[in-house]
Amino acid sequence: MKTVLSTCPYVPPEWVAAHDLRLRRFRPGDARSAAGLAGGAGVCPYARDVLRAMEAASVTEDTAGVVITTVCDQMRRAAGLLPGTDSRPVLLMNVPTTWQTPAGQQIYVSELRRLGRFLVSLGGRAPDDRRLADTMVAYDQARFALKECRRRCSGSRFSRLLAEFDEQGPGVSFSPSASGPADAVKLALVGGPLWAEDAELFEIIESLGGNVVLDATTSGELVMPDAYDRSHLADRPLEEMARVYGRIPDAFRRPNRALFEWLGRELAARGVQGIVFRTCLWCDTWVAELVRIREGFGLPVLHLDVDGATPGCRTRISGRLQAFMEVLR
Amino acid sequence: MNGLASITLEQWDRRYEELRAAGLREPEYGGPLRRHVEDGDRRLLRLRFDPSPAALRLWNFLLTEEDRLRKARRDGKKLVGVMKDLGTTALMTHCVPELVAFYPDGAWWIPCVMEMRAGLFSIADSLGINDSFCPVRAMLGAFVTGAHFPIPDMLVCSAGATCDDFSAIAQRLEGLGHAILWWEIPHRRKPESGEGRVELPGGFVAPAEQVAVVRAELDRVREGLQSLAGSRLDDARLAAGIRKANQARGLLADLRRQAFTAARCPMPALEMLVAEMLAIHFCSDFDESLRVLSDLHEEVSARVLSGKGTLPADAVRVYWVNPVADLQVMNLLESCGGRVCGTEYLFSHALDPIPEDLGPMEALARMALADPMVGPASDRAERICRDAVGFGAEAVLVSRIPGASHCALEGEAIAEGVRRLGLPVAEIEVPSLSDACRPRLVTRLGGLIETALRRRGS
Repeated sequence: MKTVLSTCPYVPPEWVAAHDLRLRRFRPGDARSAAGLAGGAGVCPYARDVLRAMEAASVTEDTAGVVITTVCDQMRRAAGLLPGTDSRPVLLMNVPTTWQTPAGQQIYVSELRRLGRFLVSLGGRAPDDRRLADTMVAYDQARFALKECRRRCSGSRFSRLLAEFDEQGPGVSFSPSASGPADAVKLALVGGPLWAEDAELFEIIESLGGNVVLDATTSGELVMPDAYDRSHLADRPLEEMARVYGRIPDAFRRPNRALFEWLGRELAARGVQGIVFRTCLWCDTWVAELVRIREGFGLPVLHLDVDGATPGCRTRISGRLQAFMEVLR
Repeated sequence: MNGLASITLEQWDRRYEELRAAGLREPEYGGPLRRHVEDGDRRLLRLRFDPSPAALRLWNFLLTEEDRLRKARRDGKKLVGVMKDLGTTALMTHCVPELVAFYPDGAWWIPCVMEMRAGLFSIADSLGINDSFCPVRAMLGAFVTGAHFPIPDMLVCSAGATCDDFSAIAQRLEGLGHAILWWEIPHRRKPESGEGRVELPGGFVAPAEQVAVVRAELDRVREGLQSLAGSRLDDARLAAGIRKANQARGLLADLRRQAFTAARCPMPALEMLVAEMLAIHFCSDFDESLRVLSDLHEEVSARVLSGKGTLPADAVRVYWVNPVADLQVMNLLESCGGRVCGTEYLFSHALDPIPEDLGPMEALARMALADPMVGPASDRAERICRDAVGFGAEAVLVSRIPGASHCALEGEAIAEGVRRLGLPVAEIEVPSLSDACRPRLVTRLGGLIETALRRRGS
């Protein structure tokens, strides 16, 4: 099956699947030492690595196309540096920042339709409402199963399951093999998107006696959409998809109080003891929220600022996490 | 003699007395520039100014905006802090007689003008907005101290296709309890096959659907303004405001044409920068801003007619991209042998004429969507290249804003377009106070000027 690449949680995989294509929502590898696009001063390392991964994908994979979104300014501008070619067309999809008005909803529905036309141009088949609704239900059920696993999984295991689901879709089987130890320090990981190698971050935390019980990164549970209202699927499934995806909380939304409401609810529900707040160099959107995170929940916060994936700053991160865990115990 | 040297503040003291003795008439905000230094604007001590009464009026108008805002409040008017969109919502606000608009964003120059003595960056630091953000973070400190502008009765901010640092800072501001009316400006894209297309002021195009979205969003802003004012902002008022804004834009267009194309530079870059800024928000007094621009226009027209200029006739013609956080750098280019001939300070949509043959909300939506920051860097580069050629630039200077999210990736796109024209291009980064990096800046600017001179000779 032809594959479409994206990293953005606001590109619904069920919309792509309903067009008989597969969305591969991937976590890029850390390519800080590689030459290529956008390596200059001030460039967000994550945007740099997404671009490099997308550039390389056209050569090494059966990639039908690439979807970049406007959720961050650097990614929005990076799209212009990734020239669309016949073998790898690029779509820059507008994701509205405001969410509370009809205009925001209208922009998102309209952009989903535009994405649909893009998918058809890649060889996809436009779905009728019935097919779309069935696909949405399949993804809904898979996400429900994944969320059910959450309570019985260690943080590292769940992160891997989530990454597999994002890459492969609902065909993945979810077997919670290793739950975290009962006496582990319960942590929330909060912040922007993860690199592929960031699986190691969860493992470091576990090796120090902790467990990430809440992955509130934009690669994690934070951006998993809520369940669909099945009563809306029969007549206007696309609008229901836009409603549910449009409500995903994130730091970039304006205003972003839904992020803090979601965090407040989930931190309490999971009994979180401390927050690891991880921001990437030049990520203004998340860095600006540090003080509110510190002041908003009455929990200890460790701020990890990184310029790439965990292995590149392993020593520094491990030392700081160890100290943080000692404080929390 | 065709020379008209720019002068220091000390020289302005004497010049002011001479002009007074000769019968200078000033508006009520007039007076010697020195008094602003006494109010804390210490950077003026290090700048060089144009010596004309028109320039004096321009500076005095700019540096007394806070007084005007406080007077407006005393007079019972409501203050609206419009943020980020640089032009559109300020114009809408000024169409309501009960309201006055200003851009809190303008606080980004306070650390420069007050040479860091206001402590605004320290306050921003304490609120978690450190120096990885653009100098506009000074705005947060200004809200906390309330010492640089009155706290507005309403805040309006565009969101969506904007720079992340500003958006994050505005969100931080809202987190401090200042409610904001956010309105969405989508990333401008080219119309696709089968979509209706609309030509925007300045020449960009956008899908009709995007224009409709922005229009609906601006309607929400209109409702908010009406509600605050308790007064109608109808199409007739908007149309009148657009006509007046176009007068200012017309004056500026001719001012720019003359200043950038005259054989000798008739007005220094610094005063031209301040004049262009008036188009964004009229410095809180729409009518007076027109009079200030008219004076300046008259002065420049007279100088061009008589062949007078403030710089040597062989000064290298440089097109300038992005505003500088330290105003002194505009002087620096001139002392290195350059002159500004063409600018793109991030708000070309506030300079282009607004269509008057459309409904006013449609015209304003088109203006908002023509913002160079809203579209792809390639659009902006294309416009810069077109204007640089039109003004006869011999070199292009891209001035990076420290920490600004858009600067990291667009500089190269612009530079690439300029190189295709065969023009030399250089990129500099200018902090709020550039004294410490002055030698480096002189080297970069000097190198650009020398390259352009070599090219001239070949």
